[in-house]
Amino acid sequence: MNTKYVIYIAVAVAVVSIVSAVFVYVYYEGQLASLRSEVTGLQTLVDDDGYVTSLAAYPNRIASLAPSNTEILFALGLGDKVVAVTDFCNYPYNFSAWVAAGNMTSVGDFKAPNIEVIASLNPDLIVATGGVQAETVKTLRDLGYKVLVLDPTSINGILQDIALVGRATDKNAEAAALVNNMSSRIDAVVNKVANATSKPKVYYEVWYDTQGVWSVGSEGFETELIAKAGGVNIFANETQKYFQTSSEAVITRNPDVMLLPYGHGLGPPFWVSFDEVKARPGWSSVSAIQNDKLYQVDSDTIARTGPRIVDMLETLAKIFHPELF
Amino acid sequence: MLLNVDGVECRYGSVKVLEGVSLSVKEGDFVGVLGPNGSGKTTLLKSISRTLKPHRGTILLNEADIYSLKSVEVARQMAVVPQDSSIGFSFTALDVVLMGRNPHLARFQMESERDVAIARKAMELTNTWHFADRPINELSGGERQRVIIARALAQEPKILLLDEPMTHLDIINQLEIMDLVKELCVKEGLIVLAVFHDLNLAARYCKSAILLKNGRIFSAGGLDDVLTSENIKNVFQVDAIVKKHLVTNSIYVIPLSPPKSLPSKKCSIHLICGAGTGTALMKILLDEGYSVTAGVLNVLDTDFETAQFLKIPVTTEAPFSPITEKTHKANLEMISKASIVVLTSVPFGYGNFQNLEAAKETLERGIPVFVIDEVPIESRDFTQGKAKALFMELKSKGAVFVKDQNELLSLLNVSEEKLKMAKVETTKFFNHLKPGELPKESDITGESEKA
Amino acid sequence: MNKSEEVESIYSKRASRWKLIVVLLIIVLFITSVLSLNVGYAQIPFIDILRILARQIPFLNSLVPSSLVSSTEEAIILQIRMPRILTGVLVGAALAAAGVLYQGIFKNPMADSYVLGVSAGASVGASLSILFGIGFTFLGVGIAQIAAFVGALLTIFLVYNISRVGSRVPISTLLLSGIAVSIFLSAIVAILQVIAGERLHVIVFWLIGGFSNVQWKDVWAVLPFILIGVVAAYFFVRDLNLLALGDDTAQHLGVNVDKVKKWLLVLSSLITAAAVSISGIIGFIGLMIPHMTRLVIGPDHRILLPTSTIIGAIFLVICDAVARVIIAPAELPVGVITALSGGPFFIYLLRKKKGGYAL
Repeated sequence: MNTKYVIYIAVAVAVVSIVSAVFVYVYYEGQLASLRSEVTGLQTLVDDDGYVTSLAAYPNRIASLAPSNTEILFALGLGDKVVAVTDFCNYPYNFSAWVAAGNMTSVGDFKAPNIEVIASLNPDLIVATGGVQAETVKTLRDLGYKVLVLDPTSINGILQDIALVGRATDKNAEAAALVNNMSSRIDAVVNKVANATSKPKVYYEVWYDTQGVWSVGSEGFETELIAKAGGVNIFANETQKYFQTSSEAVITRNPDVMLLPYGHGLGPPFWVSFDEVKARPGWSSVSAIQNDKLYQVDSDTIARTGPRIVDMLETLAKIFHPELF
Repeated sequence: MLLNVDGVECRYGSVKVLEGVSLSVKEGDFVGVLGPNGSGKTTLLKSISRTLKPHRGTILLNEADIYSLKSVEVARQMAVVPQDSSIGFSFTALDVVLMGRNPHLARFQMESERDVAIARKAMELTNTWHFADRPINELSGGERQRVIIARALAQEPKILLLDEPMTHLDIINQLEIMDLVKELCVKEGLIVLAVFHDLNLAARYCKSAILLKNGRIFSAGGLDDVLTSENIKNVFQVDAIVKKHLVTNSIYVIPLSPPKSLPSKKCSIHLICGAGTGTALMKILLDEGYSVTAGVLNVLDTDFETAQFLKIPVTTEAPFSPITEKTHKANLEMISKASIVVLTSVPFGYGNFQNLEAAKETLERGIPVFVIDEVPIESRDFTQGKAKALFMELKSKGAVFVKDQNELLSLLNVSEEKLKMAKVETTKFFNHLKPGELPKESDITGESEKA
Repeated sequence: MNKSEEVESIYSKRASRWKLIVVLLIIVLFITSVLSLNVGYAQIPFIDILRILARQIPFLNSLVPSSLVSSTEEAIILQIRMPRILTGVLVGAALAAAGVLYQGIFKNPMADSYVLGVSAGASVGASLSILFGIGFTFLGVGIAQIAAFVGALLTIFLVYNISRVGSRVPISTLLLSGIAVSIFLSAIVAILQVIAGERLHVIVFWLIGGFSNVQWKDVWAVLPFILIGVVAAYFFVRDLNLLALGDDTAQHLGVNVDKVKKWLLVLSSLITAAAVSISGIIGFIGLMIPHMTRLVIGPDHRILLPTSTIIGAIFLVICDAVARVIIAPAELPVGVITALSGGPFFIYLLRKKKGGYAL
């Protein structure tokens, strides 16, 4: 074997590899293209991603990739069509028990849903969220699945998403009813608190540990909820959704009310106790602590962009303005 | 095949390690590169083997600039055995030797049977074939060194560079390998450039040598011309005796310990010796600070050569000739200038019998005579009893007989002290002595008197 | 046959023995890959898998009517599992080969493909792109992948130039610069994670390593780099053997040391950057697979490189299969599996060899 001979072989391998790579791309892209049927069928839907999905027929097998989406689907009466939920879905039913009993499938952690599981269920429609699911959504769409991304940034957005799901699933009437119900309840609260003399300063705590304090900014849902419930988020001037801040920042802003979520999707050991909060160094001067205005809020409800957001709104309004209710 | 080094200057950073080095070697040359630590020997080899590019100067291999050639081309002709190399990979010894065939193989060519045969031959010549399949990192330093030498030989080079190749090797391996290399030099015209620390080894195998001092060539040429005691003293700062050994027909170098600096004594000692009996004593006495003379010695006598080397004044007689009256008188005159005479265990024949007489006369004159009686007089008397008789006379006349050199030296030290003190306190202490009685220790220190 | 003849015959038959080993390993790789197609959440009968595969081969196509195969199963096998397995093969091969090359350049058993800051550079590239440009694609390839690749190469380039002295690159300087740059870049990644807000999850997942969502076009992007890199590396196997004896000795035996080292650095960095861009940081393979192979097969790079490469591929394919199944439907990051399984096995091999360890 001399060098020249081997160089020929090496060049041949290089050429073969490039050619095969191109072949693979072209061929399989072609296959995928056929999977994504371009049928302009029943309707076209534009979701929160700005992506246009066209459905040829109303879906019969729906996969939900987020707890909020599961709640919406069940609220619209689509429970019998739902074939998959996530590990975190817990309302309106105890889905983990269903999965354990073999009556429902879970796609796993909603941060990284298992593509193969989804594929094996052969869903007609997948309802996902944004953020961390972006890669998964892209892959699913490339594989030819119909994916609706629900990623609302405001309460109004939630209402629009509910309407969107209704359109996609031939549940327009149910969706309209739900939206109307929610709207009127929201309006009722807003009108009532408009009469309030003052708006309490509210601190909503996402997380507290030795590293720091996390709260919510103006882009976060919770800020809008607080405002509509007649309060003011002390961090309303921070734009980010979730951000890290410090004890000092909270203390200087001196909130009148503190909302401490329990849950975080975690069990009781992680719930923050009021005694613990009162004992935090330097926090004793805070108005909310002195007046004992610490409230525990269900984190499942407050952060989930589903129908129960209205329940949360009403709860908050009662907390901020007990005199009006 | 011609290797030409011209005006090479090498630097490490800004420090000049080699300067103005030029040499020329051709087929069959075995050149030793010698010099003290830091003189640039290894650097010279590095510049030739293309490890360290010279700042100035050229190195030509058959008229081609060695640095313009490809590594492979050079490797086909030149092999290098470095000073030390530990290999952390578990290649077998044969693998390592086979790597020496690399310059002759194309990139993807596997080693052929011929290559394995060449490797095998190289390993048999270096006594390494019997562990050919053992991993190299399990071998001892000496075994590994031999494997590397085998690898260099497997390269079938025309030039072989060796950097202190003899470290780690035991005597028999040193000799066998050097003999092998020498043979290749002679039979196949292999050029060898070798750095040696051991001057004797270099002297034995090298035809020519270059001696480096502080990065420059101090001396270059035939080995006998380069390795002289002057050069050695100049470059290595060591006194050494350089002699030609008749059996190996090569020079051998005997380094001498640097002299101890003791205060010089005023005493001068004359040695009556010969046949090598006085050689060691000469050096020892000189080191102790005595000034030494000797006689009568025949030219070509071993003690004569030593005296020459040590620059000791000698009364000499022609080689193989008996001592003449004239010489005898000259000897006596030399003796008269000395404070002490020492007679060694030299054999006596009719030729040097006069020396014994000289000893007797000296004694009669009152100069102390020390006789080293290591070997019984009977076994070294070749004058049918005359020497023995004179010997006994010396004894009766008061010569001090000592068993060996050490006793002599200790006695000499005491006498020195005595002489010193004696000069100071003669009148005081010697009054109570009877004639012929030597003063005792206590007399000198005066302890018993004064206490 | 006496010992001498034994030794000689071993050496002359070496080439054919080596070819046999490589062919056997390739067969094992092929079988492992096909079997790995059987692993996954969806329980697809093996015979269906074979049918699906057969339908892809032009000649066998006609033997299997399309009615026998469900399109769901076909989609899962061809679109989800196959790209994943092929990625495992490519990345495992790439990391193992790069590991062999790095250990040959550095003659240091602790050198792996990440030691020169490749992983840190790729992480910075990926994190930056995740923070600022997610969703952006170029020729179908995600921006994170491209950014990781570019980041890795830029880092190598930086480290190389920091340590260069004229045309020589002293090994110890290279290693130290690599470590310094790695630490610095890792700190930058930490900062990026802190300011990431809700994109933190995405960055963390990328860093953990894994190829759960690979598609064919991702594979297409890295296949040429890895294949060409690995094949080109084979050109230098003899030089690697000689380099093991020491830089000076290698040069005396005819190796152009500076040129070879440069080439090896470029090739191994290219391979590693390509692998990291598609799979994130998967540790252990580049470091341990070459060692493990060396313990069994010896230090001669002419056989070590091909076998390490193939064994690396087999190993990663198996680890990925385990990662898919062990806590289904969730997945363990494949880097965790490689470390958990490989570490103890390597220790076992070391103990078996008893007499201490040398490269």
